[in-house]
Amino acid sequence: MRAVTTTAPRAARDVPLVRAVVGTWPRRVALGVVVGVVAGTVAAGGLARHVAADAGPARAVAGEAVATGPFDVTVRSWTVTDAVRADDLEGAGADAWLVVVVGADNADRESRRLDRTAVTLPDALPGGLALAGDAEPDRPDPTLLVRDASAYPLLQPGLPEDVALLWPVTLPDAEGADLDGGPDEPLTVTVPEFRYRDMTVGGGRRWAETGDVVLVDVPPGDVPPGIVDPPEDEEDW
Amino acid sequence: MTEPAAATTAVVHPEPEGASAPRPRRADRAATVVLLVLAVVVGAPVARVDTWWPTLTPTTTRGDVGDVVTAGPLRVRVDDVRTGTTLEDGYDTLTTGGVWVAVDLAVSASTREASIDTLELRDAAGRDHEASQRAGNRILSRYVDPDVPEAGTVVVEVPERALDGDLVLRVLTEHQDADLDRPQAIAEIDLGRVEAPAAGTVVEVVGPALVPGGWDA
Repeated sequence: MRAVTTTAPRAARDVPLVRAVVGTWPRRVALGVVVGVVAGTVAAGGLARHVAADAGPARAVAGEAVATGPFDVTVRSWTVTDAVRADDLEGAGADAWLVVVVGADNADRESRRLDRTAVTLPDALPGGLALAGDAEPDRPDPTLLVRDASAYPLLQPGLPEDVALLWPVTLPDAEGADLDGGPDEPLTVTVPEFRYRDMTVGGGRRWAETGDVVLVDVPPGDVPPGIVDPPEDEEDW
Repeated sequence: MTEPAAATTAVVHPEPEGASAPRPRRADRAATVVLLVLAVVVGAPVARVDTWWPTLTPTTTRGDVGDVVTAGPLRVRVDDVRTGTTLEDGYDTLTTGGVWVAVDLAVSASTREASIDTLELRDAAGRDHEASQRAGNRILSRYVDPDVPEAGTVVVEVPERALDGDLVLRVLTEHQDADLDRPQAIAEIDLGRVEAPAAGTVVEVVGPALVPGGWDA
């Protein structure tokens, strides 16, 4: 053991506690290891506030922008209507459209369409609504620019626009349904987050879902006038 | 198990009789050196093999307003740049939350019939704003003949802050897919600083038409 001990620095010899801690090389090494472990734990976020595994996904309130990666998405309102693209309802086997209105600000460096998975509906829809035909909860179709009802709008970077996402739905009582009043309960939707990453297959880079999502309770709202079908006489003209 | 090593040593470094003890160590060193040389000889070309392949890097030709810029299969000339807050595209009146930038240009093919694939404006921050799909932009869907220029207007919707610096018009002549493919040829035309429009300014689109006299006019 004598072979591995050395003489402590003069300052350390003058202070008993310091001499006790760094008096020999094994102690100095041990102290270094302890300091290193603590520093490494702090640097790795080991002392961050604990989040319980069952805490679930993050939540945002309606009207609050959610940074998804390629877009800042603000979920505004939802409604049910048959006054939009009424001619397409029969082909979709639907009674009406479930419409979710979002604000979308393209945060990317190039023009892009809102990701088709930008908003996902819950498994159980309120009011007895059910998705019609082949509709999928994470695939709204079509999407319309609220400003002028352009389909599948190409959004420019830094130029926010409101976009209506449509899903075809069936109503529990289609015959006696009165859609004028709209729904009266909130709808909880899921907004996934994306990360720009290298693709291992095929090469290149693209926005890929991270698996993290944000839940938003969406209040009911009105149908944006810009996407409502024009009156028939005007359409015929 | 030591026989192969001994045999290798005998071939590569013949030793005098009676010097058998150091042979295995020398054989190990020789094998190490051979493997290192092999790694360098194989690794060097592997690291560079991409640079030997036919390049997919786009070729970019640059010019200014008024220049006929040839980029691969196309020739392009920008004649004017206008802005407005409302667009009359011949069918509809289109509003915007930003600014409409209308680029009057002429385009022809260079060797055989061709068309523009993608047209976009790059702002000073490097953001690319693609030609609007809300407006007709009929010149973009036309196939043009070699050196028979057709003139028309392309409109692009940009946020107002995009006009804080110079704009560059980028004309891409082959399918653009940022994930997999790269365009073959690009014409970049410096538009300089483009003035923001006064409130209520209406900008109109000029329909595609042959340029009288062609490029020589």
